[in-house]
Amino acid sequence: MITAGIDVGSSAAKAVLLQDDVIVASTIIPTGLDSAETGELVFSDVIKKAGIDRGEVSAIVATGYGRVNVPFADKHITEISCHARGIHSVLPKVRTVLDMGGQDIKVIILDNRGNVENFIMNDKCAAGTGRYLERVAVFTEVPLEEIGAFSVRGEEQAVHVSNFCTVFAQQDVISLMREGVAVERILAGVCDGLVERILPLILRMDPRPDFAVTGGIAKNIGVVKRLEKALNMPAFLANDPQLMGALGAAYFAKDCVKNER
Amino acid sequence: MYTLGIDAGMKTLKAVLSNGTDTRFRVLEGGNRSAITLAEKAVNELLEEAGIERKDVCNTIAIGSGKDAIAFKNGDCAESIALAAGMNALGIKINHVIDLGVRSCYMIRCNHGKVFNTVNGPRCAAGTGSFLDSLSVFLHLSYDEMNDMYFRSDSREVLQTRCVVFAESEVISLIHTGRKKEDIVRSIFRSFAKQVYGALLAGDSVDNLALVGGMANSPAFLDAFRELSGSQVLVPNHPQAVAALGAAMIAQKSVSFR
Repeated sequence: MITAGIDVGSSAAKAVLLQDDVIVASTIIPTGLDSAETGELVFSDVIKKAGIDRGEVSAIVATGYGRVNVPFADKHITEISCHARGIHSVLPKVRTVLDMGGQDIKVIILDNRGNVENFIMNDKCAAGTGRYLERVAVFTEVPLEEIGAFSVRGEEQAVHVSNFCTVFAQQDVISLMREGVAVERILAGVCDGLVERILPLILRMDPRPDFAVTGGIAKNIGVVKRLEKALNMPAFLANDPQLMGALGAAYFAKDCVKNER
Repeated sequence: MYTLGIDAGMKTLKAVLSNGTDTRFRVLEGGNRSAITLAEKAVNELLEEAGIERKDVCNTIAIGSGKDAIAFKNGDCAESIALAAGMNALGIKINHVIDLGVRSCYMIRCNHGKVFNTVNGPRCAAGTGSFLDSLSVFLHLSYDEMNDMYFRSDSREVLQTRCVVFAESEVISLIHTGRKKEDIVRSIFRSFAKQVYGALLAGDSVDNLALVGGMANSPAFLDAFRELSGSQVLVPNHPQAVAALGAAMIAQKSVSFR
């Protein structure tokens, strides 16, 4: 039995095909402006990768910002629940999840069965989100996926960068670049500031081990290391941090099929 | 006895030279990094204009985010205190004074040159000139163009989001749904005015407000703010340099103690 999970985020759309608890195919594409179209595109892409037809998929669950825009899904489930389920399937001992995506930050507390016990979300402010780092990437001319590594190199000599607001941080980065400050030091300051900014949100939830980081930010080793230090807990990362929502959705799709039987 | 007040801001450098009766103002574009160079330039111009020399200046007080770069200063003080002193020197008796700069947003309540309360705006760009600056860059419109476009629309809308970064996305969707640019620009100013009013006055109505700082030069912002606050808003002459004037006045007072 193959099931599909589709997670349409603000920046990226993800799809996962699950068979016997194994991911047989997955895909990540940019969301673009029309999320209704994106749902269709990402699903077509993933079944093509697996070499199967639509008809072979037993059930589809959609989640994320675009969950209401994937009309062909059998069910729509909240991203919080999907994330929790996805993480629990790969890291069953995790109780605290920090998910940082393109436009929002979520902290989810799980119980030992992977149910959501509590959660908090910031989606009103761009500071600490992927948007924040995307801008930094533009102004420092360092690709997003390399920011983490650069920030680790500049750790010892980080310069202060405004941490409260994306726009102010950007202004600081521009100034510092003009002054010729080494980009590693600037990026170290950016990552320091980012963690300082989001830490209160995490601490408010009374985080407990095991702690996991998901979403695009999990690929940023600079932020992950700083989080571990600040929380005094190792951060577990799934192999495909961006796919957790879609994976959880695919598991929920399994439930749909079981219930129908 | 001449004194100098220097206000080194994030985007502009303000300098005031005064002996109590002869007062001269300079506002120069250029931010923190070039604070000392701009300050030297402003001071030299003011001295030449007044026909005096450096040694004739008895005391210099610096304020603002770049004040530490002003090496020739004799002292410094808090911006809010300088602002109150400046308003007093101008003889303006309004108690509520809002300072809106590119990175600042705060309001003082003052009386006879003394501050008795300070209210800070949001710590993020949403309540500062940076909000408009960012969106003007994003829309590829100059400040003047944005001000003009505001008056070519009569839309009463505001943006849904407060965050500048998210506002950019909102603006993109508005453009995609065919909204006129003039209407979008007007809603940007209205949103900004609403944010500032909400943050500083929290819905209270105050009959008379004074506004200083770079935003006081924006007719569009003033119009939106007057409407959204329901207050009479006075903009003093040299609105960007009021705090620098206050610094020069404070410098006058402390000369007698040197």
